Amino acid sequence: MKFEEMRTIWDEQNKQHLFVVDEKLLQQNIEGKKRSSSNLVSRIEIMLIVVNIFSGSIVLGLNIQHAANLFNNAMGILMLATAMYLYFKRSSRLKSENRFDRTMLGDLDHAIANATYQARLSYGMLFYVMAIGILMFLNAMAENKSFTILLAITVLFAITIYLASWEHRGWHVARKKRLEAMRAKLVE
Amino acid sequence: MKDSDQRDVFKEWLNSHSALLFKIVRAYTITADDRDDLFQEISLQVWRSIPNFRHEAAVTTWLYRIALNTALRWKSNEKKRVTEDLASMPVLQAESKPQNERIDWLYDEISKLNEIDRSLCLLLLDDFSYRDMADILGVSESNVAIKIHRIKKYLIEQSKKSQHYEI
Repeated sequence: MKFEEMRTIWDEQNKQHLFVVDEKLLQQNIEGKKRSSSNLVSRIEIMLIVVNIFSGSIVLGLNIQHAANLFNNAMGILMLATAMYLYFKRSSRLKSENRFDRTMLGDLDHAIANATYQARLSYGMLFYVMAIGILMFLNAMAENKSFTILLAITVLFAITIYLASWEHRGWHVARKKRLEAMRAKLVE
Repeated sequence: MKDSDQRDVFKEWLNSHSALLFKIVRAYTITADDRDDLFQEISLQVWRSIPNFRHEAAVTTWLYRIALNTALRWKSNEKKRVTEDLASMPVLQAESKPQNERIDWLYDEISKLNEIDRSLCLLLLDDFSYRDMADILGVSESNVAIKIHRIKKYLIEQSKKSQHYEI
C-alpha cells in the first residue's frame, strides 16, 4: 500500500464521529479538575512550608519555656531552616516557569524541569525525615525514655524513610526518566 | 477573558474539531477508561489554553500542539493513574457504527510506534507541512524529515506484510 492510500483511509474517519461527548458532564469535570489538580507541586510546597514553620515555632517556643536539651533546639531550628529553604527553592522555581517555548520539546523540557524539581524535593525530604528521626531518638535518649519508646521511634522513622524512598525511586525518579527518554526520542 | 466567552470558544472548538481530538485520544490509549481520562485531560488543557490563543496559528495547529503535549505528559504519568479512581461516569460514548478494518489496522500500526513518532505520524496523516510539524515539535525540519522517512517506510513495510495490502 502506498502512503497516499493510507492518508485516504485516514481521511475516511473525518466523515464519521467515532464518539459522542457528554458536554454537560465534560464541563462539570473540567470545573472540578480546575479546582482540584491545578498545581500539586505548589500545594505540597506550601503545605511543607506551613507545617515546618508551625512545628518549628512550637518546638522552639516550648524549648524556651522548659529549657529543653540541645537536640530539641536543633530540631526546631532544622524545621524553620527547612521552611526557609523550601520558600527560596519555590521562588526560584516559579521564576523559571515561563522560560520554556510552546513546542513539544519546550513542553517536555518544562515537564522534565518539574520532575527534576520534584525528585530533588523528595530526595531532600528523605534526609530531612532522617535528621528529624535521629534528633528525636537522641532527644529521647537524653531524657532517659524507655527502650520501648526508643524502639517505637526507630521503627516509625524506618518505615517512613522506606516509604519515602520507595515513592522517590518508584514515582519521581521513574517519571523523570520516562520524560527524558521521550525527549531523547524527539531530538535523536 | 470572561468565563462565558471562554466557554463559547471551547464549545465551538469542541464542535468543530472533536474529530481531531478523538484521533489523538485513540492513538495514545487502549482501554475505554484511558480514552475517557485522556480526553478529559486534553479538554482541560484546551480550556486553559483559550486565553493564550492569539490567532497566530490555525486553530487546528494550536489544538494539535495542546493535545499532543497533553498526550505525551499523560503517557509519562501512566504508572500513577492505575491507582486513581476510574469509577466516575464516562464523558465519551462510542458510537455504534460498523467497524472500519482499514482504519483499525492503521491505528494498530500507529500504536506500535513510540510516543514521539506517533505524534509525527498523526500530523503527517493529517497533511501538516514539515515546517508546521517542526514548529509543533520544536525540532528542525531535517530532524522531522528523517523521522517521517522512517515512519513511512515502516508503515509501507507493515502494509506489505499484512492482508490489508489487498484492500
